[in-house]
Amino acid sequence: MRLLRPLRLLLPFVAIGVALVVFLTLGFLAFAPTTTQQGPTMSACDAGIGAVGRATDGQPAGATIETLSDEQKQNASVIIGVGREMNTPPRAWLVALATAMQESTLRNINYGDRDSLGLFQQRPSQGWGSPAQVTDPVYSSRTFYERLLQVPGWEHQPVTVAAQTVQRSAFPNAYAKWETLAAALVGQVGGVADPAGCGPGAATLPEGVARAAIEFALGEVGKPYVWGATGPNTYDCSGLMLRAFEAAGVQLPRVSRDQYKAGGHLPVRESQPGDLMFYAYDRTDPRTIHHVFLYLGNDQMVEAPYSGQNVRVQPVNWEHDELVPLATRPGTPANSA
Amino acid sequence: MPIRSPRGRAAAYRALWSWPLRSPLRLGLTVVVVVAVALVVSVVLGGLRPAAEQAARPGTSTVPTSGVRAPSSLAPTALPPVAPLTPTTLPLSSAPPAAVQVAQNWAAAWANHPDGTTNQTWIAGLTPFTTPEYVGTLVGVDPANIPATRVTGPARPTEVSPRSIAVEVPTDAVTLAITVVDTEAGWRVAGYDQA
Repeated sequence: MRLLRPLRLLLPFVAIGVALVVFLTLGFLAFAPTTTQQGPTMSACDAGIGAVGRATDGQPAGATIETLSDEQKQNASVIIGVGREMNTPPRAWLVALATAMQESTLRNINYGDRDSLGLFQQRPSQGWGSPAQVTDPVYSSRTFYERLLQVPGWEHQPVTVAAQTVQRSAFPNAYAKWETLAAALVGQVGGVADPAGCGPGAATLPEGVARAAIEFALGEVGKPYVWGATGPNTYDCSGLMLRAFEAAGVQLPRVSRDQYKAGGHLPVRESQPGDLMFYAYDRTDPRTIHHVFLYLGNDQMVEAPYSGQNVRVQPVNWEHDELVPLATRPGTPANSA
Repeated sequence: MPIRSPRGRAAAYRALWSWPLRSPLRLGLTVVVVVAVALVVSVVLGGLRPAAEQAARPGTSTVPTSGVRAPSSLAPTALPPVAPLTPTTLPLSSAPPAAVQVAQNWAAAWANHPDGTTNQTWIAGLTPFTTPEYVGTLVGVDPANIPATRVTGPARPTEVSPRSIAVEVPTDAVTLAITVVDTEAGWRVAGYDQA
C-alpha cells in the first residue's frame, strides 16, 4: 500500500480527464446525429419509381424537371408547401405531384373532362368543392391530401395505386409514368435527399433486405393462392412478392410484369437469394410476363403458384421454356446496356 | 526563497517529474513508454472511427452496420450492364385478327358505362377480355370518370410480337393504347393507357 500512495497525487489529473471525456462524449452524442439527418427523408425504398413509367408501352414520360415551365414548378412548390404545412410525409407529396402531373401536367387549368377542373382535375359534381375552390391550388391540394390520408395503408401502396384510390380515374396505371419526375421534384423543390429512398446506387441489396423478404415469404408457405390477393391470408404470385419486400422496406409495383422493371437486371443463372425470377409466355418479351417468384439460393425458390395450390418452396426449373433469362434485383439502379 | 523540503505535496510532484531527469537511462525509458502509449491510443481510436462513420452514413434504415463489409465507396454502384430483352417484332400486317378483335371488344366494354353503372358491372363486361392479374387493377376505376362513351373506329396495331401486340383504339373522347398478350386462355388485355 505504501508503494501505491504516491498515486493519489494523480487524482486531480484523473478527475480533469474524466470530466473532459464525459463532456466530449455528451457533445458528440448530442450533435453528431443532427448532421446526418438534414430535412425529411423517405421511410422505405420505392423500387417501382421510374420502372413502371418506362414500361407503359410506347408512352415515355418525356418531361423532365429541366423541361418544366416556371408555372409548373410554381404549382409543384405550392403542392409541396401545402403538404408540408399539413405535416404529411414526403411520400404524400410524391403521390400528389404524380397525380397533378397526370391530371393537369401541373397547370391550374380551368377546363377538363366534363366538370373536371384545376391541378387535380377534381369534379365539383362529385363532391370535391365549388369550381372556385377546385381551381385554387392551395384548396385543391389540401383536399387531395385529406382524401389520400384517409386511404388505409397508402404509405405502403405503389404511388399509382395510392393516387388511383383517391382519383378513381379511368386510367388506373397512368400515374406511374410520372413517378420519376415527381420524385425529382420532391428532391429538388422539397429538399428531400434520396426521394426514392433506395440509397446510393449499389449492385447488391443492402444486407438484411433479401433475408427479411425471404423470411416473410417462407412464413407464408401453405397459404392458398387466390387471384388478385395480396395477403394476409391468401396471395397471388405478385402479391406475395409485394408483401415480402414490403416487410423488407422495399416497395414493389403491383403486377408481375411491372415488378420485372423494379430494379437492375442480371442473367438469371447468376441470381442471388432475394432476386426475383419470372415466367413469360414469350421469354424474350417482358410484356408477356405472367408469373414471378423469389430465389432462395441453392436452386430453390418460393412462390404463390396458381389457383388450387398453396404458397410453396420448389426447386428452380432452370430448363423451363418460360423462364425469363434475366432476373431482377429490386431497388438497384437500372442497368440496361 | 522557500526551502525545498523533501516532504509535502510539492516535493512529491517534483519527485515524479524529475524522475526521468536523474539519468539518461530513465529519460530513454520514459520516451519509449510515452511513444508506446500514444501509438496504442491512436490505433484504438482509428479502429473505432470506421464503425462510427458507417453508423452515421445516411441511407436506408435497413442497412446494418457490419464491420465485415467493404466500404461502399469501393463497391460498384450498379449491376454490370445487360442487354434488355427485345422480343421479335413482326410486320403490323401480321397482327393476329383474334388479338385485334379482343382489343376492339375490350375497348367497347371499357367505354360502355351508362349512368349508374357500378364498378362490378363494368368489370364484368371487361373480365372475359382481361388477364386475371390485370382485373385487380381495374377495381379502383369509377365508371363515372370514364370520359368516352363509345368506340369510334377500328383497332389499329402499333407493335406486333409473336405473343404480344400493342393496339390503338379510337373512342369519342380519347384514343386507348392497349396491350394484348397471348395467354394460355387466349389473347387477353394486360394493360392500357391513354395513347
